[in-house]
Amino acid sequence: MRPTVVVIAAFLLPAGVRADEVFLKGGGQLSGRVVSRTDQKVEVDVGAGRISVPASSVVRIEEGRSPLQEYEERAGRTAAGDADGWVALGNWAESKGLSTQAREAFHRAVAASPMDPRANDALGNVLVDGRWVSEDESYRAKGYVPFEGDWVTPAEQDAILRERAAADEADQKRREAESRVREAEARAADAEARAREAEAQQTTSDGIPVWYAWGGGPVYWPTGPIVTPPRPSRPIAPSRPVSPRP
Amino acid sequence: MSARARSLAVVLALLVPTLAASQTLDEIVARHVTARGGQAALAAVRTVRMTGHAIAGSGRQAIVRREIARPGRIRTEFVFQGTTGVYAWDGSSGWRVSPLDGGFEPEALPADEAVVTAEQADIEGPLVDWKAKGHALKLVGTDTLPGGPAHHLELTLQSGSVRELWLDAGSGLVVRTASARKLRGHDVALETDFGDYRETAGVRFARSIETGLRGRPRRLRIVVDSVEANVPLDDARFRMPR
Repeated sequence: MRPTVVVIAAFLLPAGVRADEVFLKGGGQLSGRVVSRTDQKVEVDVGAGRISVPASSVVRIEEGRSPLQEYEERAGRTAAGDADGWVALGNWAESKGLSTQAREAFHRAVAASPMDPRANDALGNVLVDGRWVSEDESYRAKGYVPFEGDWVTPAEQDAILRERAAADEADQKRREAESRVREAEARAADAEARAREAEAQQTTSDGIPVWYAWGGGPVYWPTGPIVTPPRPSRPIAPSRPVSPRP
Repeated sequence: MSARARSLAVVLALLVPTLAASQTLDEIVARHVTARGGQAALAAVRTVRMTGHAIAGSGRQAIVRREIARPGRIRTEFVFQGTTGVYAWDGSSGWRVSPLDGGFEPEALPADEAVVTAEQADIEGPLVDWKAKGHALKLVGTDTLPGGPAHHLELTLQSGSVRELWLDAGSGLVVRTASARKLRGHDVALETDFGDYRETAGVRFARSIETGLRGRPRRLRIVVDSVEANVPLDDARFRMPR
């Protein structure tokens, strides 16, 4: 059956029936709750935000109970003070790739039992002098400083900034040789590109690309909510525009 | 001693350490191959599927599946927060479907990612038959790592990429690799530690892989929960869908 036919068939499902597994070409998949469907796009709540997929990219949609729905049902049955129950639910959510829900469950476990090592460990907390602190706090305690979504030593930060300043200076000298009009245009474009780059890093960049380690994976994992539609976190084309040429 | 004899002595003096180093390198590699399970066992593995989970900072965890098939093909699936991404190399070109990166249609892998992905497609690792594969290898020396002394090798892959490797002097297994990368515009040194080697189909595979940037505290951990050898893998799994 042609993909478009399948998608249209999915749109004709009666209201209230949820089609929760959205299959893309090549094995890509979205699992969650389909919240809207048109002939242009399918919007899926994946539990950490909503992702809009062009309908043309969808091979088929299968309705069914998604892990996200099961999580919500199990969470509704777990008592606030049941640390073991929240840890078990967090572990289950992790096994289903539901990182946001897993974190939520582990946070609930810590709320019920602040020193629970399983939940603290799963949240990435670190035991420092008998106290569980966040990963970030532990890095700060070791003298690292936050820099563009990562933690670096002050010396490395200085070196990177010096390197960039030198590059900027060289750029500046080059631009001075060009006409004032072109220079102003290039600066404006550069500033805009940098702002976009910084914004992208703030929202989506964190840590090491998975493909560095194992041969494949997204460029970066979002730590915050998934935006709709997810923006490319690392443009394939050069992120800074080339200075206009005469 | 005549001038000719002195010249010969000088030439020999220069050659002997080189020959010794070469021999030592061959011994180190031979030991590594044996430690992995031996040439025959490695050659008998035609496909492999590894399933595990990747753990990053802030409690992020993803399910990862990696399939490798001879000759030189690899497919990785990454399941995170309701999204499944696919990243593959079919032996000559790479592609991906990466919802987290905003990619819902199969598209070509960017060049830098394609190179790294292709390098992971060597099912037995680059040290096995390294000469036949066109790689260059040299022994740098012996270093002391947290786990003990390790032989430090420098491998220049046929592609031109340079990778440093440390082989545990006791077990002969690779315990660390390092390579230069560019991250957000500046050069970084990427280090990966390997451990918890376990046997599947007579071959030892690392079940613990931990990657980080030299001098930085963050680590990405991959824990391999299962390894299956010689599973049927259709060619189409590696080809970019049209």
